[in-house]
Amino acid sequence: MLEVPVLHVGDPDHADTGVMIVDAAAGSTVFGIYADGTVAVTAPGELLEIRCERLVLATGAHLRLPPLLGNDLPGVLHLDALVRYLNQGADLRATRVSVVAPADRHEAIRDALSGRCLLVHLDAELPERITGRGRVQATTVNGRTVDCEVVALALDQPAIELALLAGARGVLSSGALPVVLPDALPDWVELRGRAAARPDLAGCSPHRDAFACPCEDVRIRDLEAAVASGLRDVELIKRRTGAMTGPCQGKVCQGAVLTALRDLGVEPRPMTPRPFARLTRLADLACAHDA
Amino acid sequence: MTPRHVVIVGAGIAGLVAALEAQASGCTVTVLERGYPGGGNSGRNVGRIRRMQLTEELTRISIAASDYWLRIDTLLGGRNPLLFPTTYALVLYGDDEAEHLGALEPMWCATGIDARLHDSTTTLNRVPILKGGERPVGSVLSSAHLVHHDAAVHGAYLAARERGIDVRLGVDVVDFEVAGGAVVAVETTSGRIEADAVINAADSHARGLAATAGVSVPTHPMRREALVTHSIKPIMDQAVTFYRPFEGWFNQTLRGEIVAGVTDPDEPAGFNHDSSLEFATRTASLLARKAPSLMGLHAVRQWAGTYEYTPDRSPIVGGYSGVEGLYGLHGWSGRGMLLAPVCAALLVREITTGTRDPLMAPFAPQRFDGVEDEAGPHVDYYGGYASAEVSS
Repeated sequence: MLEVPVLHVGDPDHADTGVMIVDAAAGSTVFGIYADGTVAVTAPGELLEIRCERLVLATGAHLRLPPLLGNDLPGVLHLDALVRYLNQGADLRATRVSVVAPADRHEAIRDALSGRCLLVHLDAELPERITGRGRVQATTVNGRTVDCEVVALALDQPAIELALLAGARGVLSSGALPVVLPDALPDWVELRGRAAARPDLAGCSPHRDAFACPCEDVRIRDLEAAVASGLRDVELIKRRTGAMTGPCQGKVCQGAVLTALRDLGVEPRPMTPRPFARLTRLADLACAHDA
Repeated sequence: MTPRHVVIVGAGIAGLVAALEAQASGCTVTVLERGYPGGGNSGRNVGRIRRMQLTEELTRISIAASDYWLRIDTLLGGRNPLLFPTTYALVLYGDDEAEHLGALEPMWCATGIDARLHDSTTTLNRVPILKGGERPVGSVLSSAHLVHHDAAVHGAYLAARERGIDVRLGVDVVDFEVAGGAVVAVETTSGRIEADAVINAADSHARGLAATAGVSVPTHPMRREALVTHSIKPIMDQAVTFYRPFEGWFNQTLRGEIVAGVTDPDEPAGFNHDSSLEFATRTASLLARKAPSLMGLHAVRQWAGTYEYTPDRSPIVGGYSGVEGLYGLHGWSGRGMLLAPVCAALLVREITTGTRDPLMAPFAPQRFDGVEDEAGPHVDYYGGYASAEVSS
């Protein structure tokens, strides 16, 4: 057990000086916070158990997938993911990209993408739908077709899963495109950067055939069917449809699923937070025990 | 005499099957559930349905239980509980284990089940996931099933609603009203409900509920944890259990996940649904020894449920002493998914006809009357009820 006064998780740019930093980009990942406050970390070749007096979470954001028809097509991604591809050397100079982002970020996005891909559309509003066979081929905006291969969405679901594991309560925000936000954050836990944001995102009218949970292939109409069959509790519908039980464990999809259920008259109670906050290789857990 | 109104506490698989059976027998039924259907241990298990047990009594009820599961879809209104065949593989790592279990083969033969002791080579051929791991000395293999517990519970819940059974969610029992030694009503958080019979199917909460009526039952909850990996293509079709160096198990679900758990020999008794890091590392480390080919898989979630243990690890099914009309249907000791449906059906038959099935003889609540209630170290599950049989 390692004891530190402050443990910083995520983006080092948000870290105070002299604190211990656990950053997935540098190869170490927090996969759980347990009932006794132990923060469990996989690092190269070892598993660390850390206790801290203060936990700072600068874990960024996941994509809040909007309930658009075609939202599962390859080519739909978070703007962050597009930038990561570019930074890792992907040549997208001939790739047409359509971006949805809050208006105040448009100028910075133009600069960031300039010369690196073909920015064919930049909008604060969501398109009506995304179309394509097997991959993104176009979006529809105000009835007009915009041909593109990538739809990059700057729609943040703050990455709060560690705050929930530390004891915060998840609540579904209001707004056009609700996200899950932490309430009653324990006083030893602090969120910073985009993990601390309370995004008010542009919405769209949900399409029944849109995916709410991409991991488990659950569409909004599957949730409708579960509710229509007589199941009226998030836990029942989760188990019935598999929504929020795939590899993301609700980190990405919970806002979309709970919003759809709320619209169907079901109380949008977030699921019980449990480890693993990140996919964790059994071998990494096993070697830790032997050591 | 058929009771007119039956109140059932707990909408897990036991309570819901009891409700459907009681209604089919002509009773009016109310089911009370403080959370959501299957929110207790019916939603926190891996649904192993097997006939092979270590005592003849448990084997005989397990045969009936398996047969009941194979035709439960009718009770569920044609809904599919996703029951699928598997091989139950009790994998042995000690010569003494093989010797003890070999002595049970005549009992398994006599009861007509196909459980047989196999040697090391056959074990590795029949359960190839074990290759590359610590070499087993043998195994007991038998045909079995896995049931998707959520599909079964939801099927029972939806069938109950479809048939007009009054299932009340978010309702808790406050007290029992007893007159002339018999229960006449249940006081609940949503009012008083008259009852001719009350079935306690509250599993982990059954002890507290019974105590409300002044009935003492010697059950103790013990946490059981599990972890689940991401889904992969089918790589194994056996449900593996081992007891050396301590109890562990793993199998693949219909969805393709591997679910696994290794118990803590020092797990204290008590109700606890927290996930622990020690469990995750212990389980991964023992799987690395037993089935190293699984080590590349990624865990996605941990969860926890409880085993509600009785001193003899057999359930409590029948009318309690002291309060007429109050029945126990709990204390599954890790066999709830398997035994609860058939026991619910047999209990309802007993309540409505007055005839107790001989299969249920070992499960009468009265066997614990006057028995000292000790939490004790119940975790050596296998040793706990194997020893009596083996030594006899």
